[in-house]
Amino acid sequence: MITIAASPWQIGGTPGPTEAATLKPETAAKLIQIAKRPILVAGSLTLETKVSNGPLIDFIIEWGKLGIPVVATKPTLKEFLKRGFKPSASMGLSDLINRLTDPTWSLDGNGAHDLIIFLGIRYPILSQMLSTLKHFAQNLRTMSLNGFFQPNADWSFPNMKEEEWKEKMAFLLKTLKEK
Amino acid sequence: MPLLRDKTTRVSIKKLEAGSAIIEGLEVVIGKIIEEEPWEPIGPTPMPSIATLRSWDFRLLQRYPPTYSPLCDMCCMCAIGKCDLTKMKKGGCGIDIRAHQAREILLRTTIGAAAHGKHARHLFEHISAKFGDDLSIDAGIEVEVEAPITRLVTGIKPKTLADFREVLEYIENQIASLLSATAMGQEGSYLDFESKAFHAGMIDNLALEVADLIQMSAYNFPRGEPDTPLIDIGAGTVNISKPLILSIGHNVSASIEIIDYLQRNDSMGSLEVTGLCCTAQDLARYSDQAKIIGPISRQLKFIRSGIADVIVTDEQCIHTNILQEAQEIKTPIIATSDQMCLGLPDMTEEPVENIVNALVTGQHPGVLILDHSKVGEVAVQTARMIAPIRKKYKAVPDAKTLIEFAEKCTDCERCRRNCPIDLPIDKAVYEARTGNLKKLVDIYDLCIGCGRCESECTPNIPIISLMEKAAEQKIKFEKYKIRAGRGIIKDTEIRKVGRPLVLGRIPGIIAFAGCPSYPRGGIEVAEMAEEYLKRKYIVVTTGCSAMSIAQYKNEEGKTLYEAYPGDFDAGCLANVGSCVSNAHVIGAAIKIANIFARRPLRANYEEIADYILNRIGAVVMLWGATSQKSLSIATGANRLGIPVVIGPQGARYRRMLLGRKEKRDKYMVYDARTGEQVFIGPAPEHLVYIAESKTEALVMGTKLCIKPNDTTMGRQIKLTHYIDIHKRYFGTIPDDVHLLVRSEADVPFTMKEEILSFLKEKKWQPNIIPDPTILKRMIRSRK
Repeated sequence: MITIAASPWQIGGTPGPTEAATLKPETAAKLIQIAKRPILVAGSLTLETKVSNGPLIDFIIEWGKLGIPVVATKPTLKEFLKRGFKPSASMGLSDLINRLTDPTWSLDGNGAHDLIIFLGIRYPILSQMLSTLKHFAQNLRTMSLNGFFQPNADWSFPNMKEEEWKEKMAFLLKTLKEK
Repeated sequence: MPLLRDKTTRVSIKKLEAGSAIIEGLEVVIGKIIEEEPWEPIGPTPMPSIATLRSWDFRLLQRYPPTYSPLCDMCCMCAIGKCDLTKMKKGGCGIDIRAHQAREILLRTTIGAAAHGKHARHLFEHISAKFGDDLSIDAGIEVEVEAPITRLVTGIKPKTLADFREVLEYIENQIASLLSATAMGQEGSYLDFESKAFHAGMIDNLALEVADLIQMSAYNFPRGEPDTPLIDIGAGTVNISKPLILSIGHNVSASIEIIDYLQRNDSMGSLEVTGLCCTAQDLARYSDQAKIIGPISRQLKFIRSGIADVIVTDEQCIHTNILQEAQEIKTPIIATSDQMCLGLPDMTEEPVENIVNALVTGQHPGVLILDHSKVGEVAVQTARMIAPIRKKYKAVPDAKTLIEFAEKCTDCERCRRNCPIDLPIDKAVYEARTGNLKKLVDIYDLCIGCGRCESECTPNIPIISLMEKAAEQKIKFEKYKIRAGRGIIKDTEIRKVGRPLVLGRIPGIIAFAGCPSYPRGGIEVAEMAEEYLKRKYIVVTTGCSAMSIAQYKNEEGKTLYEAYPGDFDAGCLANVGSCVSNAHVIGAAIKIANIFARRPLRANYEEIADYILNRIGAVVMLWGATSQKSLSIATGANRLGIPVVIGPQGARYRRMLLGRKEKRDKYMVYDARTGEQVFIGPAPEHLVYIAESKTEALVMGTKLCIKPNDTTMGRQIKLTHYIDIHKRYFGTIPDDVHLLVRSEADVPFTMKEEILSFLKEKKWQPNIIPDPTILKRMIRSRK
């Protein structure tokens, strides 16, 4: 198995001199725990992506129940509701990213968010959306937890094989629960 | 009324004494005096320059400001750079990332406009030489407004080919002006760059119209007939025992010579004449004997099949490695455009016999022939002579050989990592080592055919060929029907649908355009089209999207073209034609404003755009966004107030134009009756939106058709679709219904109880339905 860290998953995807820091699950847990106004964005791949105990959507619900606000992108909302989980909000990904560039905007109107975590979003579109936030939302930090290195995030998991990613996700959730 | 244009020479004499004569204060202007029939008074903006419509653009950009997604944080455009523009750092020329992105948008839209402008110029010159400048511009019966974009932008009503000369000069002049603005040290404001990009889009749309009207008139293409012939499409439709010519590109004039030559020699059935991409669409408009292989995503795969005996290239969307690809299968290339010479020897002046000989013997792998009248004979003779010689190349390598290739796979994942749409190619190839080709078959339809996977493969596995072989049986059954492109939308159709469209009883026009870089295959375009057709939208399509729609059969085993009529009407599917035919889609919106609403058309851009923005529910779907040309087509639509929904791959266009529905002040219009400012809700909410998935695009399409001018019945119908489709795919009532209901009469009858309860929860207040305009000068009486 070849694991290439800190190299964009898509070859040629190096955006410039500023790239994401590679993230380990224990660091991710700490960053999430110290964030004051984080949100977790769940994208359209949450159903077809599998983690160790089933589809990613169930993992997100479990995490959401710990208290982090979950934003379901529009195509995923129905599946969350089917599972009896009401996300904090549901918006189109483009709509959400656009609003996040406004430092006065937040989901609940109680002040800007400081950490945006992304899961289950197709690589090419997430890469571009993270680029928007990198340049035009300097008040917040972004974290990509898919198993593919996203250089436009502030923090990203490195490129990993599926099994390794599943292990890291399980570890992350376990750490967050133990807090 | 005679018009004086193009003041080219001015002679001025202040005072001249010659013998007994004194001339004082004489000024002579030598220009072009055009006598023309009176048809409509000239409007305020004939042949606008890059700054003429700036105030209109800024109105749009105020409601829909750009959101940028840089693909690269650097600027490498001049010798000061590379300049790092990350997080709003400034480059050596002073530019920041926002303005630089806007400049990139301008550059790309200008590239698109230039490609279409040159295409129109090529057609003009070829057809002028062949048919003469007096060729009538004939858009067909029941068509008075033959060239809505030309009339709107330039103020010219073209009657003969010669009338387009001035239009083309204007296009070329504007392209130079737009390109100039991208130079270092020129424009610095992102909003002005965006305004200029709108201008490039408008120029692009004008070029499309010129190109298609010229070819429709010269080649007797269908002129708005809805029941054009059903044409064979799909690799499975070709008879591989016959010599086969494959045309690729967008400019059909060279390929038409092939058909003409075969018909002249009464031997049309002796060869297969096929095409890929828009040239194929236009060949099918010329002859129902031509066959379409498919959209551009099939290009590399079909070439690898080895079936083509001769490849004729013209311009645009051709794989730039085509010569090498063709050499692999010993297929000669005939390049026919100065835009793509491929390093080939120019044999334009050589006798046909010499050229054919050079190609058949392999003296040259291809030739450049710039005289299209020669192309037909050369292509046909070469195909006939070379077909028996290259029989052994008419197949991809056998399964055993390909599995041997797959055995070299080290599972390094680099093929997937170099795939623009992140397809799991790695798993498919790795599994092929065991002889299981199923995963390769699965990704065959999803693959966009760019070949980047191969260029990254260290053991040089021919992945595209692997896919082609794996899907061999499937390809044999790729037999579909597409309706030949009908071209222009007739005035009679506009009169029929104008009222129900503007009042909202027909919920909208959905136009599927653009390239095939789909996130999950072409089937999604067909599925979206079918959903809108069932909901009685007017569905129109062009180019590769039209071909993708054809490659899907419904439950009854019919393609959508067989299942739905080709009219421009509710619940109909009109294949308008190739990429240049997009002019007729945009032209239809303009014609509704002119023919149905009687708004003056001639050089009256702002008023027509204002009408479309506020009254015509039309949306462009660019699901497989790829080329600069797609972007420029869409940007032209944007300037007219037509929203565009782009597929996720289009995030690499790097810019959206997004509204924010909670910002009431952005969605205010004047009520033209009173001058009062009225809130219209997010109608339409966005001008350019990138959707994450098919379902999001579908819902967004229904929503963006909602316009401020809808009658209550029309708004009921549009809301019914919006709410129903939102509930179906997202499971809930949309959270912005209260912003789109103006009075209780707008509430869909079948959902009344539920919606009224929702409105109550949102503390909804009724609003008036204005006679909407964002142009102050359109107010009829002021309070």
